[in-house]
Amino acid sequence: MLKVNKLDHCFGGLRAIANFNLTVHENGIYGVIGPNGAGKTTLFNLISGIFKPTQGEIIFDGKKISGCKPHEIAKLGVARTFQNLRLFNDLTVTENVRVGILNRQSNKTWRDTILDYTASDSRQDDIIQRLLDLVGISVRSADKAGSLPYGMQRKLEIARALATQPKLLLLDEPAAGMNPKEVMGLVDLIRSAKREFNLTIILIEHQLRLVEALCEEVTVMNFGQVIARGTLAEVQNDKTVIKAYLGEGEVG
Amino acid sequence: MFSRYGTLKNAMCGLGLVALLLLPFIIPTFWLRIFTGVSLWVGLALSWNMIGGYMGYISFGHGAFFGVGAYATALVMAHTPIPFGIAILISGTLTYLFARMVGYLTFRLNGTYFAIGTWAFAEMMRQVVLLLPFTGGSYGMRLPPVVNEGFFYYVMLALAVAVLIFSYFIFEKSSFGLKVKSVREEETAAQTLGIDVEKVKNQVFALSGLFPGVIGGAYAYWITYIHPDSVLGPLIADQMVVMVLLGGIGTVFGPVIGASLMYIGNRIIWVTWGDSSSYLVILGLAICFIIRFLPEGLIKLPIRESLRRIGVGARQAIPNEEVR
Repeated sequence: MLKVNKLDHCFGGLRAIANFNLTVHENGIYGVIGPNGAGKTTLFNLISGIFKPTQGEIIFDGKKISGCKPHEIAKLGVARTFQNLRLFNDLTVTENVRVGILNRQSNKTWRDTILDYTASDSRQDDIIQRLLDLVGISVRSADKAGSLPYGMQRKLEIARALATQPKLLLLDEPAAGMNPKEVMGLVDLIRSAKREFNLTIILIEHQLRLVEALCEEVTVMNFGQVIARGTLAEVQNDKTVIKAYLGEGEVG
Repeated sequence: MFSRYGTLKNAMCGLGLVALLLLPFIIPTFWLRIFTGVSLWVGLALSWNMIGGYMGYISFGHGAFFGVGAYATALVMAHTPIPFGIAILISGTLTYLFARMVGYLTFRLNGTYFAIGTWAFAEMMRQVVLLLPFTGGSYGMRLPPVVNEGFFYYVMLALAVAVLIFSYFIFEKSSFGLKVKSVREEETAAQTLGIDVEKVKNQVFALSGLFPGVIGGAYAYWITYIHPDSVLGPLIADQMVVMVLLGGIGTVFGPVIGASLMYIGNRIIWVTWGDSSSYLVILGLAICFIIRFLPEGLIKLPIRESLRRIGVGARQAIPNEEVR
């Protein structure tokens, strides 16, 4: 459903993504791991349209999306979360999710937009309630997003992304800063979200516990390139991967 | 809970409106002119608040929309038999389109650069008006005088109330308003949720340029004499910014409070000390004080809580109550 072909992206002279290929099939969970600065988040920024690739193409559902604007890609069914949270801090939890829902009504007229009082739409309220229940933060629905504890903010980002009814969900370090117990909770959450919304997921993660529990295929990146691909057990024993993480051993 | 609270609130609003409508029959012309000015500035401050408050883009170019509106109405009424009511609508349409164009160019800029860009546009318009052959240059333009203070009071009041209602429904109640706020809070996230950020920014800027154009047109006909410094000077945009900051940025009633207090204060100083620029010194000190101690504006004073208990003031911070 997603195909990344010979993707290149340069920041000035730095080649952040180099000849990158990835094929994603429907209903899978794919992991992307790699040392810091390997280009993982850049990859997400390219898929979601925040950056335009220098070369190469990204095909989603048979349509070329590289070069499209972020909101166009979002409307096609790609949603994402951010590594360094990007919530609407001054809006309430409910409002944050509601912004995601607006995406669904793309062909509304100008008149509907004015006359649709956001506060009184019960159908929207049901959807929001369901999403907040799913991620387990409905008790805080009236609070400002910025006032939530870190873990809840991460979950709110997931709820907000799900509100756009995506086919493909990109999770950028969803477990960052979580303890082992919270990580297992997140694994359950991602599984049930995938089941309920029939999602395909790509996730970037440093916590291998989460990758191990969820991902069928793992891509290891370093310096913008794929250095290994396979199941987690396979890549963990790969020589290049060990080298990338630990550096080359000294002889002697 | 809603009914009792709502009835009281509606009663207060109704009383206030009746008082405002009866004002021309109660107070002397001198004060009526001051209240006309209050309405004018409330309208302008609310317009600026659309882009500065809800969108989070600080524009120093909004004086230009006021000035262009004033000149457009003056030109239309001087050269054609088109009546006042239609002339100000022409002004509004013109400044709306003008804002679309300015927005298209300046929204490539961010933060401070946007502020400077809009300011440069405003300054450009002042120079254009000085140079054009049909605007009277630095001599300005004169309109046929109409001495009817009551009429202008009602016109300005109607415009101010229109902008207020428009702000309330568009920015506080509609899904468009939610889009705008989400863009203000986090542009990148808003984009990835399917919001066309560029389009939203341009729409808001154009809307916030529409009303100053209409108000500017009404001002020209009221004052009957306009010149580049009086309608296109930088102080007009500056005052809009300060009024909104004083009252409370990004709220519906903040700009109303800020504009009323500042304009009345300005006039009181003018009455007591004559026409001097000394009030600018006081204004400057007031800005420092507000930014330092009350960055959210007067509307966030604890007074608001007690007012709310008796049913006055904005309640935008508690959206859940609207559902019931």
